[in-house]
Amino acid sequence: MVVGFSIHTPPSLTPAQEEQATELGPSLVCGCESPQELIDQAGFSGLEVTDVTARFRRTCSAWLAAMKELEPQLRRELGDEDFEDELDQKEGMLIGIDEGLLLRSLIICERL
Amino acid sequence: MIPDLEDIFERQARRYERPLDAWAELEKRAFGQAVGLNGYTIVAEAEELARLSEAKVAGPVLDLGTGRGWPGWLIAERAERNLVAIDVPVVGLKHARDAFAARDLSLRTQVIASDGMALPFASETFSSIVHTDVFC
Repeated sequence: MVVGFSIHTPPSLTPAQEEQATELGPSLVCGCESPQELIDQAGFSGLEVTDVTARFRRTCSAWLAAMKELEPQLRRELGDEDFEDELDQKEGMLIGIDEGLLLRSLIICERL
Repeated sequence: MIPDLEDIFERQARRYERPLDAWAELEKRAFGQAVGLNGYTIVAEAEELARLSEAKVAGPVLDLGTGRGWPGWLIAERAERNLVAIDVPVVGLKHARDAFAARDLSLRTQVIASDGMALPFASETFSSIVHTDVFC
């Protein structure tokens, strides 16, 4: 059994939307095949995909709120560049979710 | 443009080098507790993975892309399975090893520096494989 969470894009994005999703989300979010294709290639079956994007949004939002609350301490301990990089990532993720470009799912499959 | 994997691993390694105290404080503020989370897999999701991992045949679990050992340690603990944790950035694996040891899981866990695209294990070694935000 293979089980895990994955951030991915919805099917049928335009090339421009894919580019935007890659800028806002994880670097490889558009870099490989769909979960179904990956599962098939690896010889697994019984794919179950459960959308957990709403929970993912709450998680991003919680990170972002905490980062803003602890900003002076984090800037001191992580450095400005690292802090801003992390903040940009979280903000980008939220924008990507809200614009429907980024999804997160629980993906389960089993060996054939 | 999609960056190459080496860049991604280097970036991850830099994240794992961050001061753990600062990150734990941030995690507590965001989620009420510090478990070693530095991505998006919250405790409820880790518990779900543990439950799913123990639901089928008995056997060891492979934690693919373990990072700093979260949620691997919770899965090893809750599912009561041996767990092999792999990833590429060694700095993260050192934290993972410490996280397992801190929970008295050293005898049931193993940490290996390995690329998930060339796994150093025979087929059928594991009863289940878990991953969190690795394929993106």
